[in-house]
Amino acid sequence: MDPYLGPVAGALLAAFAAGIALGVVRLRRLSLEWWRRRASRAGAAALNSAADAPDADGPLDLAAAPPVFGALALTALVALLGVAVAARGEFAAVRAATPPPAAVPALPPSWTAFAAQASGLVLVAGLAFLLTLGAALAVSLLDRAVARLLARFVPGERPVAPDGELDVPALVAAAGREQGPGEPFGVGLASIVLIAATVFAMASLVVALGGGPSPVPAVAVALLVVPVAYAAAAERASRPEAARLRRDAAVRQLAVAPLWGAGLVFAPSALALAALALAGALALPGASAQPGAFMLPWGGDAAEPSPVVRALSRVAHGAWIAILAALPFVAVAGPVTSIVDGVALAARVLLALVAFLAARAMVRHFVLPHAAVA
Amino acid sequence: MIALIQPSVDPAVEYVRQLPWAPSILIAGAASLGFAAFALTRRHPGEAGLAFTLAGGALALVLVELGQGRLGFATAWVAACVAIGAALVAGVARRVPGAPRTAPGNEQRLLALGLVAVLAAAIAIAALAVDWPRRDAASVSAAVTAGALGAAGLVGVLTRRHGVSLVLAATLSALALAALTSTLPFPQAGSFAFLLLAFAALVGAGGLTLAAASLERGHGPWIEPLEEDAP
Repeated sequence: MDPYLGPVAGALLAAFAAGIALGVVRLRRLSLEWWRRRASRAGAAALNSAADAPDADGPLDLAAAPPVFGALALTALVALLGVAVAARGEFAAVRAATPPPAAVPALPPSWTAFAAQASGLVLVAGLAFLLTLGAALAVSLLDRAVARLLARFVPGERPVAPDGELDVPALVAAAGREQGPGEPFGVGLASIVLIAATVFAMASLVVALGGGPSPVPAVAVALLVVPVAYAAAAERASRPEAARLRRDAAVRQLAVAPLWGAGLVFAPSALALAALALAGALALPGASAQPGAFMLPWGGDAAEPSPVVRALSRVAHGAWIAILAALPFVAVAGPVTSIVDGVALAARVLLALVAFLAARAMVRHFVLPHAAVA
Repeated sequence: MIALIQPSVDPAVEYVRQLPWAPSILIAGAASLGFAAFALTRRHPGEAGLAFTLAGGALALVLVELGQGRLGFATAWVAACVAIGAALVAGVARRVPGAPRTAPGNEQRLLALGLVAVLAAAIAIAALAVDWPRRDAASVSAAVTAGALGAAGLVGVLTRRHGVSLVLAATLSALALAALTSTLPFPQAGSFAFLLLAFAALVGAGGLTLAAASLERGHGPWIEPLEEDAP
């Protein structure tokens, strides 16, 4: 469990922060008024542009929701696929007669060792949390830059993705915004789990770069938590329209699970990279503003009325793009031992990220042009 | 005379105290048990599914610490899949006009707790009487964790009144059985554990299919509130 203590600590930190932002966790003894005043000054302009979500409360045909038996068959298929993949590795290890990893002899307890381990955990947790936020902001900026570049060469196209914008003032303003009546507890819990799973996956990458185990299984399980969160939020939604959109998102994310599961199994082959790129487009967090199990999200929950939930889903959306772009390189590269290795790895990840965002922008503008005016 | 009386320690308590224990596994196991208890007592299947996923994740940490990383991640995977299915099936109740959105609560908790406590004590005494060839701290702690989770699942099965949480409880018991099998000191234990994990996935999928069918046809206490739940 030692290598996963850091990711678990990161997930707890993210859950705590998201809980405070959502109001699920209330710090009654601490006054956050100074932060709210500062946030309202700093991000008022950004909030005004981001607060009003597109109205998705139009009439939806609830009877046309995805058939539940098909979704259950898909669930069984995905579950058995995961067991088969894990069992295959187990049987291969038995055939190769590889002994299980020997337990590291425990050192005698000392305050120095405890302090070193605790500070390492705090470092991994904080780094993963900041990396998640930074990755989401970077993806949003890159997305915007790619869209502007595309608009320069293709006149008449919309320059900026309307539901993909994410910047620091908008995040701060969303965190300090009053929630009003809000959604049920379960929806907030689903958002917390969503962001915690994202930070857990990011921390697994950080641990792998530091010499830890392969991040592939941890990232796979964390990505499967995304449809769990959307399905739970759909079940607890107070409005049938929101329930429909979230359920569609959960079914879409679940439906492509075999695809990215195969990609993770066969990484880092070309097939795996293609599968991961497709998964990056289809399995990302985010509910479309229009019903349909295969309506693609372009930047989080576009139709979500709560600004905090919308901001959290956008953070998760952007961070998962970065995680999926980095995963094949991190899995192949192993631990980073020098600054040169780290810079080379970062350059490769950045290149993959730009290529993915450019391909997505092209699809959005040329293949699915109706989505650009969502 | 009084000074000669020494406080005696029950031999059974002393025996258990001398067993090797792994605190990290016990902490992760307690977290898993806490999430499972939250999941099995929630009346909203969506929240129950989220907590069930977290319980599966904590059980995965237990198995990773035991040296069964593949089984651990597969366990978390199956738990997440069953949780998705449970939340999607619960959404069927939305299609039924006027159906209560809250699943009915549980009943006869004390009776179920008493039954499971007697059963668990009998199994624990029998297990402690065996001279196991391997008894390291990790195996003992993981076995205790799996036993506690299995007992919690059994309590959930005995106290449920609607299909979805019954399936969650049964799947929890099956996942605990797989984890318990992996602690056995036999070479084939790992293979059997994976078979039990596949069984848990099938139990979850099959049970949820039956629950969805009953919901769609308008049967069951979720659609028709019991008398004490009705206004």
